[in-house]
Amino acid sequence: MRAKLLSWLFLFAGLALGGCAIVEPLKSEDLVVTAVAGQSRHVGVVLAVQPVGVAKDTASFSRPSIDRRAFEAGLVGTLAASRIFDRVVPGTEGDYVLASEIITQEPLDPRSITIPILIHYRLIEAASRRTVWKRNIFTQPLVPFERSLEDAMGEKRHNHMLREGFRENFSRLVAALRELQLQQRP
Amino acid sequence: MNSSARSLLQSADTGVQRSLSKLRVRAAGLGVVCSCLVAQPALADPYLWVDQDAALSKFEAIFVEPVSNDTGARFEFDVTDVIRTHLASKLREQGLAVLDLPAPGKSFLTLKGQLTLYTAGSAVARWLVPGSDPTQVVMRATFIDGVKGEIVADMVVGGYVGGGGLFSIGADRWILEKIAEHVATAVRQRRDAEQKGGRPR
Repeated sequence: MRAKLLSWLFLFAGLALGGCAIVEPLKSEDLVVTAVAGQSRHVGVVLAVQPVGVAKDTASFSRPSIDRRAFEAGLVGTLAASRIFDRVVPGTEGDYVLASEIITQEPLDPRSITIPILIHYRLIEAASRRTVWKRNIFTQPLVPFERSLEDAMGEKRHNHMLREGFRENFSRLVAALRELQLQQRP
Repeated sequence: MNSSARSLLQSADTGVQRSLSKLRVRAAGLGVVCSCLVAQPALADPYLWVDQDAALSKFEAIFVEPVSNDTGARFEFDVTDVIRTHLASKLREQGLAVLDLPAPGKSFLTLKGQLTLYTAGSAVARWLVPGSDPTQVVMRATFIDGVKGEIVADMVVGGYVGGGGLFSIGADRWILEKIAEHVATAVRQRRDAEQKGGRPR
């Protein structure tokens, strides 16, 4: 009985510790959504994308997450590709400044089929420092659980969920920004 | 610094990053093995986001509105009603005032729960094959100013039971109580911190 239990434990440990392939972390290009491109909506308006805030640092042994730099590059890339502003620049020098904060991007469990992603966005009029729009956007990609030796630890699935979750979040942000009435700084 | 020294430093940096990545994956793997053997739910560490212009301590009470089912699935029992009941009960346990109905003229928060994922899972299946058929839940809890209608606070809570075999019988119900407890505790802690004068992040 004891030997049987031990062999099960070794089997699990072997699968978990030995069979895992290292998956490349996500790049910022993976987060850029180009499918939302359209006509310029806010003519003459320059949007500055402020460095992103992260609500809390992820635990040291948690799964890979989207870091500030990748998030910011993905966000700037998506907004530029959408062409709803004349120009999109990183920093704070624009007619409007977009501030964002990643509230959550943690999986429930390494084996879970989803990663809930919640991001706070705030649009500030640069001249008056007044908040003209703010919203929390929630996305939750669902990916069926498929175990394979190649992805025994679910690293690929995890990255896929992160990518899809952030891309959908950015798409919904673009759709919301498109609806606003914004003006160029006098 | 010359170019050879710089490239040596860069390759050393890449090597360290790779080693850390491997270590992280293996630690996660060990976690998976351990969690197959216990019924303890893995709960996403909840973080209560509060708008920079708002404070929870300004509000006198909380009204818990019916939790919406955004999963697109139907369940054997009224999961959303169970969560709502637990939310009201846990908030009261934490010493917070809970309203049965919205109170016009009073400064109150409306707690809007959105169930976005729920699978009841099976303890028997987990007993036969550890890690299979997990119980999992995700809910977004949004606190809205009852008068202005603006979002004051927001959080995502979730739970996952993938192990424990027959010890995890009933997880489909008690996991709902656990997530409600997480919401209530986070609100009380935040309110207490605000009243002490801090602005915790």
